[in-house]
Amino acid sequence: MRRLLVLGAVIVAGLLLESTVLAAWRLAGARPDVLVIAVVAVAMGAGPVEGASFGFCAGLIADLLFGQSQSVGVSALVYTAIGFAVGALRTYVTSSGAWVHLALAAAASLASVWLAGLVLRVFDQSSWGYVARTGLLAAAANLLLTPLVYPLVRRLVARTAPAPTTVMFP
Amino acid sequence: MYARPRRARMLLVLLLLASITVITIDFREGQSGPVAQLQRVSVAAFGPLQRGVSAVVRPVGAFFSGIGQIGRLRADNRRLTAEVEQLQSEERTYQDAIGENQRLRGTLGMAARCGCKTVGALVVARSGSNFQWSVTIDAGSSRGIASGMPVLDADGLVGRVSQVTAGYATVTLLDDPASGVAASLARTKGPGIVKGAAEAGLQFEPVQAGTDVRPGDEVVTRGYQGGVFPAGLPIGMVARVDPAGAASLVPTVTLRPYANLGTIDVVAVVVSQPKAPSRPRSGQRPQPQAGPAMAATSASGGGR
Repeated sequence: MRRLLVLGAVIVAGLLLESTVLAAWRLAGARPDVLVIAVVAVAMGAGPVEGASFGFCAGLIADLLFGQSQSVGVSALVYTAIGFAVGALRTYVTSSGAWVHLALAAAASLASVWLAGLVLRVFDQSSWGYVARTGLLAAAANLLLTPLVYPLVRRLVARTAPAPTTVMFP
Repeated sequence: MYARPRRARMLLVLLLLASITVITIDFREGQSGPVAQLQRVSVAAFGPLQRGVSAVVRPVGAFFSGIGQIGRLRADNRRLTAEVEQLQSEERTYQDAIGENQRLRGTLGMAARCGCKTVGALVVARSGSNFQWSVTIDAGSSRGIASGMPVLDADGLVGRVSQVTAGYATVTLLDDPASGVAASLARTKGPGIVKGAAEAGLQFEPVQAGTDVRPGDEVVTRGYQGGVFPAGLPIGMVARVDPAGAASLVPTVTLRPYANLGTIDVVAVVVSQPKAPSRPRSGQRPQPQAGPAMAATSASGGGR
């Protein structure tokens, strides 16, 4: 229960950050995405089931808050896939080096924009050039934010772990 | 944990199906469906929070650049620094208020020019997504705002209302790919549609092939019967014209919007049009070059 509340608060805080404090901050036109970093952190800390569920909830709320017509559900789809993929990959991540986690967060950010772009392309709401460029820029912007967001969420996930499980190195 | 991969895979499939269902429902039902209703609920829930955070963050926009300086300061001038900082922050608040005042005046001037009844509002949040271009404003249906109404700032049209709750509304900006506004060229009255093109800004699509359009032409809104848009609101200036080719019959016209869509903070929502549709009484024809808009542009540009 406490874990649910904490993860819910992470989503709300992430959305507030994105829409107010970070709203004016762009890297050559691309916006950073705090939520996808949080999804990666939860998936790395708690595995594919929680990663996918957290991703779905975060994406759906973000879609409801920011979405225009014909795009609600896209982030939910993308974050679910990313949460699951990262959670499934974590068994292969044996190194506790910071760069591994940084690279993972950046790769997930890139995948998130490219996947969303791909889905929105179906509705003719984005262009290939924009998606390709924005994916790279958003990943770069997220690299800067990851050291701030990622350890915090990892720690919250570890601290609210329901049963005595193997606590991985944050 | 990964001990139960089947359960995990089942959940993944379930959540992906749920996402696709939401996308489908939203796509089919549009503004009236359950998804749009949920959107209104979330905008209403987050509105007050965003407003609170914005109110704290707005006057201290330069906070992050200040951190570096503070780090270098010695302990013995801490008191002085604090004093200076306080003065600076007051100055920023003051500048912010002056700028806001100027923009409000400009916005009022713009509204007065079209003779419409407007409701003023502040931008409390912007979209955090790379694929949506929208803002949340702190006025909603309780002040007469409804979906589809045009939104102006001191420089021109910025977009239209897309979601409304009692106290807040979401505005889809002109550069959102989902945005489309009926428009015409001020010089030749050639009709067309202004569409959002995300990274490329705005595009004017002439209705008729062979429409005479040149760089520097003004593009204004086109009023039509039954429409919510008054005629003659300035949208932008033609920046580039790529002639019609094999791919399309009409030229590709790129617009530079008058309003700076990335930094808007004070807006006016047009809630009703003048009685005599689309033609103000006086000799003041829809002429975008007229005084207030341009004056406000230079004033707010200088104030920042």
